Amino acid sequence: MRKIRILVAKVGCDIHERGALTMMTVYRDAGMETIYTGRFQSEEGVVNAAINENVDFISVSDLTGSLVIICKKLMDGLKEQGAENDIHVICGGIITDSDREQLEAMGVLGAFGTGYPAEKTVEFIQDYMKDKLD
Amino acid sequence: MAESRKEEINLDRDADGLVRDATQSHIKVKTIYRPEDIAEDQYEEALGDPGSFPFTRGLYKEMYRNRLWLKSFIVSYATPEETNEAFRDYIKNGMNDLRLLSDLPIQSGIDPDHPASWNSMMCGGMSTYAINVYEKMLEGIPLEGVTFELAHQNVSCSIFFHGMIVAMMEKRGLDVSKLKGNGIADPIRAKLVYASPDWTTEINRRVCLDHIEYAMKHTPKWKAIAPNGVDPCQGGMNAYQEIGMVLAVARQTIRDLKERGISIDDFGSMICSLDAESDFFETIAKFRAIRRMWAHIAKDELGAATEKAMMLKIGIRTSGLSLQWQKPLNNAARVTLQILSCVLGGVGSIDASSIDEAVGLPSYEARMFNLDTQHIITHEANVPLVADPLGGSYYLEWMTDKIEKECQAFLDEIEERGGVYECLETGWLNAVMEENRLKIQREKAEGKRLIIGVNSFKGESGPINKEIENCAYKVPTEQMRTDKIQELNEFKAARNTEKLYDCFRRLYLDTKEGRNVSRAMIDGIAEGMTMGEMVGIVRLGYHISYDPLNMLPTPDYVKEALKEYLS
Amino acid sequence: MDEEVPMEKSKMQQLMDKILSGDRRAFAQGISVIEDRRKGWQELLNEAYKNMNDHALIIGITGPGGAGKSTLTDKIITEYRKLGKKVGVIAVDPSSPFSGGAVLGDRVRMGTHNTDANVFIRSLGSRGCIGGISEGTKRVLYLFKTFDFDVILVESLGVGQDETEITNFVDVTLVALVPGFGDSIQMAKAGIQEIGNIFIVNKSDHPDAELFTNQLKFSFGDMPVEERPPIINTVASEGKGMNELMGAIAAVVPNEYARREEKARRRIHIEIESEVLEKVMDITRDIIVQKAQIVFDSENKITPYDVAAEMIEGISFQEK
Repeated sequence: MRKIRILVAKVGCDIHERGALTMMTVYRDAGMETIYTGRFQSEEGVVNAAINENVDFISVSDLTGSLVIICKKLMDGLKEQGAENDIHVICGGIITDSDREQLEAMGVLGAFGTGYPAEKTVEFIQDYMKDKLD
Repeated sequence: MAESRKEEINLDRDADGLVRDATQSHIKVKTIYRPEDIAEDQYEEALGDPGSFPFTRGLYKEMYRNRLWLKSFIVSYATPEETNEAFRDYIKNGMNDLRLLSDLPIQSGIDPDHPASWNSMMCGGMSTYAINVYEKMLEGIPLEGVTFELAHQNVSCSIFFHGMIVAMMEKRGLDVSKLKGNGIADPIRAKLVYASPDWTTEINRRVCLDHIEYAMKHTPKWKAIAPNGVDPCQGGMNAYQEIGMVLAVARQTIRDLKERGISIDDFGSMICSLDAESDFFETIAKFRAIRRMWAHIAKDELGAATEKAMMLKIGIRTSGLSLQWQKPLNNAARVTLQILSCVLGGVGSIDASSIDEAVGLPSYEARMFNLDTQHIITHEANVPLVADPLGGSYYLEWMTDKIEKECQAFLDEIEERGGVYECLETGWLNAVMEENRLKIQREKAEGKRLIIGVNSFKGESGPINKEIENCAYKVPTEQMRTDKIQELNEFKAARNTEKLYDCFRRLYLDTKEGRNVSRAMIDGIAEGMTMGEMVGIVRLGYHISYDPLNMLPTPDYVKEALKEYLS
Repeated sequence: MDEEVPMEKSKMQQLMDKILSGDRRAFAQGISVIEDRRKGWQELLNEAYKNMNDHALIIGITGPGGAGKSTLTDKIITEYRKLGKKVGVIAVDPSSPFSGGAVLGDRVRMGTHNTDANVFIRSLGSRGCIGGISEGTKRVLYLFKTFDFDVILVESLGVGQDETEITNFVDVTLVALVPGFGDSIQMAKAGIQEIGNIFIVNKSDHPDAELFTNQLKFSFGDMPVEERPPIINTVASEGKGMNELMGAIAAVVPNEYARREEKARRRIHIEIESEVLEKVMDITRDIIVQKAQIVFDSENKITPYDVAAEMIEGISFQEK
């Protein structure tokens, strides 16, 4: 009965939605419950939504190259609410090597570039959650 | 190595075997095509010479021998200074079509000081919030004689930036009737793919028609609408749905204009924006099919009498989605093939993606590579010497017919469902897009659609690939963003408020009372009206919140300016 | 560790205390405990039941998919926020029957409330329930009733077999319909007039809206005039008709509050019944599989009715 819950998030004015929509369907087909924030959200709003929805992951998608800025604020917001150990952040979109280093350093669990196979992301999540589902 | 590669593909097949028997758009194809696959008397009816009805083989008799396609790409870096510099370089190297773009907040109808603007400010383009930025960006670049293309995704931007160039020309005492170019926004695409928050579809539809009407009168060389298939296609639609979208929007626009007393012959040739996808022959066939279909729709359905009004000019954006960050050097092959398909399909302008686009914003060198690729196709490969060189190929002609047939069925369904606006409103178009997108996604996951370097033939990135990854343009620092807000505040404070507020009032009233809003917008823009202000005031004219994102109240100075009218 | 200390509260009691103190995160986690039936869920549900209060006005919003329920919910939230009310929302979307997963998309329409601390939106998957109100939703609703909301909105699944049941769990039921959709007309014909306190014809700028509203009115034909529910025309996406809707809700509230006791009694009945049925199903699931095999193997010498009777005999419910 325990389902993995994921909040698919878009922050700011990045209008590209294809990745987010695709990931939602892929998560659903892997038996997860996925909630979508819609576009034009603030980091604060995403953190609130994640807490209210009690999700396991925030999966944020961005194609503007701003994932470092976004994830930093998400991580800070989760810490502020004491949720950083329960709610994890993964991200997808345009990510450079240096972005990846920074994202990892701030505690983002996974950073997946455009074109990264969606099913691999699912495997990553399932693998991470496999001992935590009781 | 060969062994482990086979394992990675994880397919029960030989590494050199084909996995598909259908095109990218799921059109099943035979192994060979023969004369009986196409109609016998096809030439006069369905093809004709280049330059004659139904324009399947191209719009002009001489085609590229007379004039090559326009070479363009979006140039929009974080700052106007950088962008100006880049423009000058690229123009020197053969670019002759300036494609302008803004950052994403501006494309959402909000200014840099809006809280939602921060993350994406100056990303994907400049923060062109008002005329001062454009003046810097276009400094020293001739406004007459250059073709401009506005690559923004929404109607408000198309109007704002056309207005910006017109206002600059008027200030400089230039002849605005010489302004050449087009916008590539249309009201359907703005909502279908991007859910642009700036305006509602109702506003977009009306204001877009105002804009077309104004442009026809005052800047006749400017096409104020170019129905867009690129984004619906990138969003998941297949080739015939993509051109179906374009035709449906074009047709509806002409019908709407007719209600305003403007005929298709007044409007002249239609221009559209299409995607060049990786499927080579399907892409070429798509361009030929849509030209033929528009010629018939214009003539038979919409009553066009002039040949010009039966012509559909095709502008291209090559597929950004086809580019991969894994082994980015491979993107050079993808883009080259896509450009080649455009030239063989007889298009009018090409905006090719750059090989580093999946990693970041295009770098200078990657852009030069785009131009050089087109020069090589032209001058070394001699491809454009002959018009429609593949015309008469059994396969290509069959494919052109097939795409036309499928597209016609799609168009018929749109009509049955109440037209393209109704189909947008009910979500049917989104459902079509989504269904196909998921189908493609599944095929990729199941290895039925191979993406080289991603789900097959992975190999490893070497130093050249690494270098491409590292050279991509980086997003602006947070300091630059803070400075931008500061700059905006200073700019706003220095405006002539008396004149500006007068423009606000005119725009508000023209919106509310149903007059053409274009002139009030241009006058406002000349006085420094920002994107956020223009969008917000039109919204107020429709009795909806000033802020498209509902995060901020109407600013006090706007309330002050409109106090007579706002209750 | 301190299990010997008799006064030590259990983990679930501690969680309940936190929820009662207004801890939003604890509340959100508590919902998961109940929804997922995680360890200790029954204890938490019992605690919730004991601690719930009748302060909140509970509004159910139902109607077929595509009627704009989420957008309506969004606008109703906005209206109550203008009045300074604290709003809780339960938004139910269908789970996939194939994977058990779900895309819970209602929140997209309510995005502007994400930064408002006085709005709490929770998305639930229907998890096997095909209509009406799911077990999970009912239970989660009890927990919502401990969290000091002024208003609770329950956006339930569209057309269901058991649609009438939702009325027992909410004070006011809104039925959202939309012109031009087959489902709406079907619903109007299928006797939903019984369940709605207020009918909303959303997207009333649609060309068929007038015709549809008339059809709907006509379907109320059998009811006494004074009992016919009001029909409100809205264009939720543009906020049109919201004042009228809020007025209509306020008008039916006193009457519905007077029915709270009656509904509570019915609810208790429903809860015991469904709890027992669920338990019986849990206990007998494996046995049924075995019995089915026996019936099959007997080549119809033994009937399904024989084995059912035999099983019921084994479970005795004597009145005590």
